Amino acid sequence: MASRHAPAGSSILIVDDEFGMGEMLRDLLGDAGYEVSLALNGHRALLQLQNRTFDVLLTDVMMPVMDGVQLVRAVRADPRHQHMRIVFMTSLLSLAPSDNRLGDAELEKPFTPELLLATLSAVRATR
Amino acid sequence: MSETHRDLARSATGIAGLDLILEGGLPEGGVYIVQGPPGAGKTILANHVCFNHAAAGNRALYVTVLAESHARMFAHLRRMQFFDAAAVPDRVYYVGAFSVLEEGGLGALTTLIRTEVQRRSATLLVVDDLQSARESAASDRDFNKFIHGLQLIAASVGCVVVLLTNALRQVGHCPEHTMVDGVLHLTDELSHLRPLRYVQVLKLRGTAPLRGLHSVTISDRGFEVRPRIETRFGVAPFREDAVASGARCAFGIAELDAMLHGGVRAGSLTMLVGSSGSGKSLLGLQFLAEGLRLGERVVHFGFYERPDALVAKCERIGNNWIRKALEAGSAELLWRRPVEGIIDELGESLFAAVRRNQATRLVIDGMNGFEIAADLKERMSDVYAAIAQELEALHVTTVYTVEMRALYGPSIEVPINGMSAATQNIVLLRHVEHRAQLLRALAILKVRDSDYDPRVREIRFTDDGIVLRDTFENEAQLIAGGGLLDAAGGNPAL
Repeated sequence: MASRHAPAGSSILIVDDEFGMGEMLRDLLGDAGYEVSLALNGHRALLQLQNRTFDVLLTDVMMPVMDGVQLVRAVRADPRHQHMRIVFMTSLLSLAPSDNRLGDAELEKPFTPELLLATLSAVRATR
Repeated sequence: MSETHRDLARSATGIAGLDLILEGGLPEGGVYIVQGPPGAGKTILANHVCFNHAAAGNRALYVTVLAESHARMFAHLRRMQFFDAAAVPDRVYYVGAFSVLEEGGLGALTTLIRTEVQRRSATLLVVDDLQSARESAASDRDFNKFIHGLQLIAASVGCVVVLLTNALRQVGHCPEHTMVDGVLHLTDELSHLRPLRYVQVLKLRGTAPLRGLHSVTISDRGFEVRPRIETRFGVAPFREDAVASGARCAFGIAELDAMLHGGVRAGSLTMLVGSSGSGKSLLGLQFLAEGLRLGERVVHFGFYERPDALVAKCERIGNNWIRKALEAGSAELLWRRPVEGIIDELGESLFAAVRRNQATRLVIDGMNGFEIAADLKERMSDVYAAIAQELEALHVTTVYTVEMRALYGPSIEVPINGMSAATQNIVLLRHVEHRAQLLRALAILKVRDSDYDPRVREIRFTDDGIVLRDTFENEAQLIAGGGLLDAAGGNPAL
């Protein structure tokens, strides 16, 4: 499981309000070679995105303060992050936005590490 | 109910039995604790209430602290009939808050909750679970401040706040119970081999709830509550005078109706007591068939024989009224297994069937089925009394069967307590020995406030119907099991 899947320097921002989920993904993706950052909600993610950008944004949908859809709308409107690939992860697939321009992929929780890594590889390949 | 109770604006939980216990729901602007051990159904209850709230056009916010993950929760909720994925996220919104609690303590958690309640315009807030918040508090004072903060949120927006916790505390033994507006206690226990769930209202300000334990079931229908029969039914005053002056309801058996001077009174209760195989069920079916013939609507509520078997049984004595009525919708035959049943649910479904069908005649075949389903046998006297009084209030003419323990012999023992006082008529059926044959005998033991024919008659179930005969004329001690005749066929006792 610890085999490296990400090209050197690939960065990912995980946004999730549920305790344990973000931490688990951080460890998993760190082992897979990603440079990982974590935010508890959309607002905190935006604060991080003011100072830097990431290759991939992996975000939950339902969160306090700012939800995943609001976050992605803000990101898509910012030219600095046009290259960023976006993956929604949600406990209910129906929560993922129907607008395909917002997200590049969707994952329904719970998902396997293999599915997550394969999804991330696939979205990165579309760059 | 006092004026104060009525005047409180309430938020219905949408769970019918629970709202009955709560006098219509939880008063708005209040904070309530739902406590119970793991597996007692707190999460299902809270989610069920959230989705009912959403279905009524309102918004709910579900905040998890250190609870199961949202993915796991949805995996369980998906099979529930109340779950509506389309209501998420607009009307039911889930947020995780443990990281915020870890990071910023109870103050940060309160801020997050207040912000989200306002942002979502939520009028129902669930915090799952409270125990994590308590463990994060530096002192009881800090924890009380957190509860106070929730009270302010609830009062400011008229929101109902429900706090779930595994901690099992008695009212008065912890400060939060003193502060909150209500405490509901869920239990999940074993009675011998039977699992039993209950809900109990330990405290509810401004309300006179139905106190004590009430049965809970959890299934794909969600969280259901059955208030105890004896707290809910039979509370209306007894209307004996109305029964005494009621019209006569015939069985459609000429000889029996003559013995009853035309039949039993409308709205009365009649017990058919007898040993197994003595013909109680058939006589009950005949009572319903006669009602149908006269254009009435009827219900049969039985514990032992399935509806198709009952129809076939009727047809064996040349009576097809039940089949016709089922096709026409003027009869309903309910079959319920007493084993593992919940007595309060059985009672509720019985009364619902009578109301649904606007039935004027009812047969309960195997009244002691209620006892088999009972969680506590000590309840039965009150339960039977409540059933009797509710049937009285519904003014449905009821015939119920009770099986005697002894198949044959001198003793007559009715194995139920609580019904007899409210029962106007008692008819006995049993096997008796007559000239080396076992025949079925019928005798009327009681008709309240009316004369009746006291003879012991033979009852025969033939292909052409039920008939009574004077087979036992001059015999003595028949009901004790066998007739005494002298060598000449006369009665030696005379």
